[in-house]
Amino acid sequence: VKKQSLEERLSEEDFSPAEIEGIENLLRQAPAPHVRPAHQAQVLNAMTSLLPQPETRLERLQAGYPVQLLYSQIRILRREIWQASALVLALGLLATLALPAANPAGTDFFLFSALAPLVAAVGVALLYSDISRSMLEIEAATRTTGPVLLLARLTLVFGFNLTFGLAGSVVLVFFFNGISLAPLILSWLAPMTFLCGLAFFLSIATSDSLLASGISLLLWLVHLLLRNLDGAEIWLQWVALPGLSQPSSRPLLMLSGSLLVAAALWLLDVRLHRERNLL
Amino acid sequence: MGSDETLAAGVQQGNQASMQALVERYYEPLLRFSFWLSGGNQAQAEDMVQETFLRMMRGIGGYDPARPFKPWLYAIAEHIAFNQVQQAKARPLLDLPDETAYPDHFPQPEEQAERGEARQFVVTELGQLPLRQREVIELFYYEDLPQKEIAEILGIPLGTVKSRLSFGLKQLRARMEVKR
Repeated sequence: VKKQSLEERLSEEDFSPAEIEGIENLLRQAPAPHVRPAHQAQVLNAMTSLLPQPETRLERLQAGYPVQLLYSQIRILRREIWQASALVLALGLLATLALPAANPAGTDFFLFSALAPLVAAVGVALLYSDISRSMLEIEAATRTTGPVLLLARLTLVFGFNLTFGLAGSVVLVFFFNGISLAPLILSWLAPMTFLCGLAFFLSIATSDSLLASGISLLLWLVHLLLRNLDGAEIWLQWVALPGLSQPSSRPLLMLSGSLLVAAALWLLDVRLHRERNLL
Repeated sequence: MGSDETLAAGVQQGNQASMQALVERYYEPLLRFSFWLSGGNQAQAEDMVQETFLRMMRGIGGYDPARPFKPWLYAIAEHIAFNQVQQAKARPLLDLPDETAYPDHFPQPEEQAERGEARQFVVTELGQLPLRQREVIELFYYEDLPQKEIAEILGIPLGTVKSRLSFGLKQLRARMEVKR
């Protein structure tokens, strides 16, 4: 819309030049208020008390979308996942400490290292089944997408197990002489990442959390049972998947775990897109 | 000094200099706007300006810096002015400033006498206009705002702004003709 002057506006309204001049004179003569600097200072002073306090970096972080999303999901996730994970890992840690004979000196593989990936994988496998039926409704009711929501939940469960695992490792290093923290952490972190990725992918691909956790669990148990079999049949050595706990394959395990998560989220996105189109 | 929107964003972050700059920029125009709508009452206009700025501070968190600041601020001012004027039953414009309150500002008695009559006439004429027409004329002429922005400030369609402006100006013309 073109900005008009009063004169243009009045001309449009069929005011005569004399009338235009009259109106303009009238408006020009209108009394103006007096600007009192004292009042202006008083206003400024009153406003200062209402000035928002500058946010600290921590406050900005807390108010950010990722933190808010994670916080919202903590309260929604099944309480049993937290409780079962904490209980099993705590018991595993106690058992490891109570049975030093089961942990030969010099090794970096403990009972605790065997339990951490297992617990995490089972917890992760349950994530999708909880919301799979209401994913579209959740998407419609919130500003987030299904894959992002599931990624937030995965982050929480994985993060919880990771924290527990780190704390447990510190305790083990404290009690067992000659054990280094970094190799100990890597001994469970690499298989945990892979098994979580696998369980997560399978839970979405099959839409069956029991099957997903069962396959991951079986894979890990078979590996644990057969990993120390020397001179076994070649096929048995293959079934044992020795790479799951070999230090040299840890980077590959972590990478493939991350890729499985990415593939699972992509799969979910494709599925939701198809469902949306059907509606 | 940045744009209004940048300064408002600064206020949101708790920047005192931005707040000061906005007050310096808008104190006088808002005072004029309030003065005009309050019927030339200096004290009431000052109260309205103070209330406008305080409400601005309380609501600054909800302001979106991607949108123009001026209509947002004037919408607050207009809301306050309209409520106050309505409450005071649109006090007649003859309620001129209490000159004894600001003795240093007002002209000397001789000068005042010369100007008094003319001003009284203007004040009376403008005061006869309905408040809704008065505010549109004020924003259009004194605040030099485009009609589209006036529509945003008042929360009315552009066509309504045009018609109020038209009726207001025609009414002024009619009153001037009667005077003659």
